[in-house]
Amino acid sequence: MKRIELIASEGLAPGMTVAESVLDDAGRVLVSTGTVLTEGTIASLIRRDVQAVMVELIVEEDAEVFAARSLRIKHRLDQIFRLAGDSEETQALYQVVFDYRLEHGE
Amino acid sequence: MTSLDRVKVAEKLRLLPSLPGVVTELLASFANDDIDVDQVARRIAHDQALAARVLRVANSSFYGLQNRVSTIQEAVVVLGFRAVRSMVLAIGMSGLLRADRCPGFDAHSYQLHGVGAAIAALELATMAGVNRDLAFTAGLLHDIGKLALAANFPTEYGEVLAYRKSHDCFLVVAERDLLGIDHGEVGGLLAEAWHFPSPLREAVSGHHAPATETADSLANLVHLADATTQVLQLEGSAYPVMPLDRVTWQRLGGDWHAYARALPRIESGFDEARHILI
Repeated sequence: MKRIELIASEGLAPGMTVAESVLDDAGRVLVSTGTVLTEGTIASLIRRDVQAVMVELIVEEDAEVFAARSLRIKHRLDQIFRLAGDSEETQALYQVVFDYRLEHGE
Repeated sequence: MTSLDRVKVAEKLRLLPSLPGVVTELLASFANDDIDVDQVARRIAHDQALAARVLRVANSSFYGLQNRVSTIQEAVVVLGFRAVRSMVLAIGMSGLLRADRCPGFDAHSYQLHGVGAAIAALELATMAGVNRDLAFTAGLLHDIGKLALAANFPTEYGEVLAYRKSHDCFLVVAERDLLGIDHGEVGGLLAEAWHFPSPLREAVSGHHAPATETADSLANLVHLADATTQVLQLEGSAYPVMPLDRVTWQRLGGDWHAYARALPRIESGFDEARHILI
């Protein structure tokens, strides 16, 4: 699953995805949300004295923990969708929200 | 229980005080690009109760202003005309509809739902090709029919709320079963009485039957925004989501990837924006 964490600039590594835009003192965007860091961007952030950056980390999850989490999300969505029928659109909406919860946490 | 027919509801809504002049002017401004912003700011400032509430919201932590604003003109400069307009519309209307005598009506949930739908509509507006300001305002006001019913028919509407709970059905079903009219229709009558511009009127009256509206109607986007607040549980409770209308989904572009990308923005935007009105 993905986890958002604040990482000190020295600990940043190429390939990490920025989870929250980094702004300079004037409010200008230095690196925007969703950017995948490269050695160049990391060096430039350090040069500009940016102390830390919010990044998305992919963390391994124990299979049992994952299964329990999926089940909790399913129970909750089943409750919300209990009267919504089973049209194609409604099923697709269910799936999108399920995937979103699985990826971004409950 | 006697049902409320349209005539009875419409009569009662006609007796409501009219909107403050400046609110009517702001509603009209959606269709008017060359509005005199300074003049509108002066008009808001003349309505002291309204101005005081706008300044309280403008100075709340939501906007995180470095310096406090002390006049409406400053608020317009710092926050922008559009933000002030949305704020004045919501504050001006809710001030005329007090629902505290309606048993079971949760004003806090109503507000959370309105703010949730406003943010959802705003974030989904680009995907749907709709003006973002209009989308935000439509989301904020889409359920004003509920507030009108709770404020004007508190006993009857209290029974509707209890019926919905005991039958575990959609609110519109409970309203139609007991009153013979639903909050979309009532909102539409109110929108007529208060001269909402037609895109907003359609969003209010048609969000539960968007397929009967035109393909470019704002009712389509608000229908999706409404469902989004339920699936993300922005109000906190597991209120059942209504079926997503197929025609509406296609009209909005039918792009699930774009929809999925909007979800985190909706949740974080809601977390910030809930402090505006609540």
